[in-house]
Amino acid sequence: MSVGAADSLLVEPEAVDSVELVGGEIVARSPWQLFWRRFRSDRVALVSLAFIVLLILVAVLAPFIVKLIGVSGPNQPNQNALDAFGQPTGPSAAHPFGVDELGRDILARVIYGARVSLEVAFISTGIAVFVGVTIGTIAGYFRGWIDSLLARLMDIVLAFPILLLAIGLASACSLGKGCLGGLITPGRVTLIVVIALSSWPYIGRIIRGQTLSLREKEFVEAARSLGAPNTRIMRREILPNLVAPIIVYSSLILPTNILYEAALSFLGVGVQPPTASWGQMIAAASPNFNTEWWYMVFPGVALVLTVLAFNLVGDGLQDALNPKTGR
Amino acid sequence: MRLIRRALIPLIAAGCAIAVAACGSSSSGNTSTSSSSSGLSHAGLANTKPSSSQRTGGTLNLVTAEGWEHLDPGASYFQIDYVVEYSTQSPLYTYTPTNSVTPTPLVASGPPQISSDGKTVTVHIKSGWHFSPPVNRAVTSKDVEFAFERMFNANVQNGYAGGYFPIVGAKLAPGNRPIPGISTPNKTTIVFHLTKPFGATMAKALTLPGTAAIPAGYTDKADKSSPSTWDSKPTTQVFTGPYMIKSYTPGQQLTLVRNPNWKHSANADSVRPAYADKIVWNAGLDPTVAANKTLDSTNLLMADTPPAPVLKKAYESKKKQLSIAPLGIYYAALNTQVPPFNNVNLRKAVLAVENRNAYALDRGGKLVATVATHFVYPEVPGFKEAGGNAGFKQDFVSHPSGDHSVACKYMKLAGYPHCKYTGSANVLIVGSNAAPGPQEMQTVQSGLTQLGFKTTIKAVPQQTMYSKFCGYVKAHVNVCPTAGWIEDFPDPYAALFVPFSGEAIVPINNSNWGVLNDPKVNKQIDSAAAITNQSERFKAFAKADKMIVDDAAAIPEVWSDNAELEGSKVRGVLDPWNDDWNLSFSSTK
Repeated sequence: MSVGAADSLLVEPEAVDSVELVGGEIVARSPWQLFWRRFRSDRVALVSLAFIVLLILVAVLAPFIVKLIGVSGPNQPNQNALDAFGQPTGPSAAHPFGVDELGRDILARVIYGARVSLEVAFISTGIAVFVGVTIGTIAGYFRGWIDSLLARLMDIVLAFPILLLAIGLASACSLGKGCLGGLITPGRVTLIVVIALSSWPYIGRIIRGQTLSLREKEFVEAARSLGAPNTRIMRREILPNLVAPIIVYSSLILPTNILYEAALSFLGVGVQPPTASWGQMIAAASPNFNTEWWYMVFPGVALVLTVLAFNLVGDGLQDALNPKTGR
Repeated sequence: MRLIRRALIPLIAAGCAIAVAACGSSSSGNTSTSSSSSGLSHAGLANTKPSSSQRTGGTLNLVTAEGWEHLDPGASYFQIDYVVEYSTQSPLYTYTPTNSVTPTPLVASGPPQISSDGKTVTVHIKSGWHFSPPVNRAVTSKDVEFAFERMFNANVQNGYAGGYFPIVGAKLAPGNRPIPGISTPNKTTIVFHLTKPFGATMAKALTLPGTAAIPAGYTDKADKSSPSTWDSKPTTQVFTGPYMIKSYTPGQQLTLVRNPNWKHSANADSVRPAYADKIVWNAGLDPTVAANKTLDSTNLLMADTPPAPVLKKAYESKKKQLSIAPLGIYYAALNTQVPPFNNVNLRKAVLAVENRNAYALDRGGKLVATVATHFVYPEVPGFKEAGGNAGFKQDFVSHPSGDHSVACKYMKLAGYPHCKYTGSANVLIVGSNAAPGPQEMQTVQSGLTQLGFKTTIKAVPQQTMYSKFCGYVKAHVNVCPTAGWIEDFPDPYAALFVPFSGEAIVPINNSNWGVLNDPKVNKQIDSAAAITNQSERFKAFAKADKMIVDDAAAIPEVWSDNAELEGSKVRGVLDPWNDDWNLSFSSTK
């Protein structure tokens, strides 16, 4: 964020932001109003948010959009789109982004790839946030041996070579009916679980730290002295005060998880073919990038723009929810 | 019967009608298909036949993506290993760049004498062969006998002796021991007594590198270890070929120099000219880099297949540096022993629905791949008797683009009235993770999905695919779509026995990937192998071929050719039988 004018630096930014003149009277703004006022002033974050909304719409309406554009389905091989050597052909009127090595339309696959990326990223982030917030809050609130136990658990998970675990799981569980009676098989579900497993300690640590601080505040002391049980204090007193960090860190974990999904798919342990995934498309394109540039460029650009948009929105949220950390 | 381990791009048998020398040398195994419909032809490609004006001396430089597996002649069973073996060792017989049909005597002094009952084979050897330093002495029949003893030593890990040499008393077990069925009445005669009338087939197998003489007893110490350590230090081996291995770094570099005891003479090697003084081979390169480097070079030969984009570039702009020769067959083996494909009608439905044209494109297009209809492929003698390109015209292989109505007919016969598989089996597809493996797996998946099968794809390195999945019977892989086969010698037995006879099934390193064990097929292959008359023999094998197609043991994908690249100042000479360069015939220009 840019630095404000000299006179505005003389007052507390929150003091300026949090009041409004309505009919000559000073009225306090709600936290939501404050957040939105700050967030909308960040043009870059707004544009990024618009991009994300558009991307979500494209992902949700993928079948309709593909039909509307008039290209073939994402898993529809088309031999006529390959040259005499069986090699993919580049962008054309029929295939604006070209085709892949099976003659499948790249545009359709990029559009459908957004579904996989967003689905995996949102669900895995949701699970990671839920687990991280729960464990972080419990650890921070109860302190003592529970805190020690849970904090070490987070350390262990963070030290674990998750990429190797993912590759190992995908290899070991691809035969027969998978592992644990079919609970773990290579594919989307395992991908989501592995990504969530590796992401929750990050948010868990943040939440634990915040909770350690909040539990010492007067309003928590007051609730405790009134006889409120621990679960109620955590749910009603502490959790609402964690909303800002939860939103901020979720928005930062999301793009990481998108990249994680792409990386695992690139390594061949992600979603199962023929499901389109950006990482998988980039992997398939990499051996022949010098001759079939379109095959890597379009999914690559989609991936970069998406991750960039989520990162910029994350930064915007951080600035809006916690202006004291202004960059 | 070697696996095709190179997962890049082969070529079609299309060009036989044009100018591919290798095809022209095959009397009955030629295909007359043409790729002219695609506008591609083999005209104007490099001449890979030997010429009288080749230059002696200089250094041949080779590059490959793949490295070597075994350089012990008793253990070698891989295409590029054979390239080394046929320039450093001397089997009893050999196929030459100009004759890939009839074995030419190499160490042997004449054709093998086969008894009328086909159960005794006698070979006389020349007296002028000598081992390389430090042994230096003349080769005798005892040394050839020792080579056979080694092949039946389990520690040597030979891959074919049991299938091709049914010698009386020969048993695969650790240690070198005399074989009762081999006798050496004098220094230049060796007699093989067989358990069955197999002489006609064995005569062709005497071209394999395992028959190359090894000084009797010389490797006993090394062969006591499992695996034998004779393979791990190839620079210390003893050679009978024109070249010796001077230096070797596994997977990276190999240098061959002249064998001072090798002579090009009537009483010794009258076949191989051995033009180059030295051969330097660098392996482990990125295939695209190696292929581009070769195309831009003056002095390189690329000994494995270039990736499709470079093949295209070579065809379009440097045709004189590109050659195409018949290779073998690629097929998708369907596991006949485990559900769901233990049901023959389900297998036929799969064959019917698969778009086999797509496999041809996966493998590099019409220039290098022809849609297959059966398993005796074009460069194998007996192809014509097996119906040629049209094959046996079963309805489930008659529509190369796939025919859902025919598939539906067989789905109904299999008990699925709505033409969709409703069982619980999840079809495991395992293939190579190198191009075009992933494409082929998705091509087969596309057909299976149309019939309602749920599938899981597992992409692994090609070698792992063979050793841990498709070649490991207990892995119960349902479909192996990237498997390929090239015959060990030009005979339909070598094309059918190992991949389709139940007698060839072994628990590990199994090459009958469909685990087909049809007693009728086994019997037919066995009885055909005993026939000496070539015409009758080919007809008998054609019958076995038809039975295998009727069993729908595999989806015949493509009959494939092999593309090779050479630098502008190199005269690469191809071994049509090994489908790769013959270093004893290649030279600089």
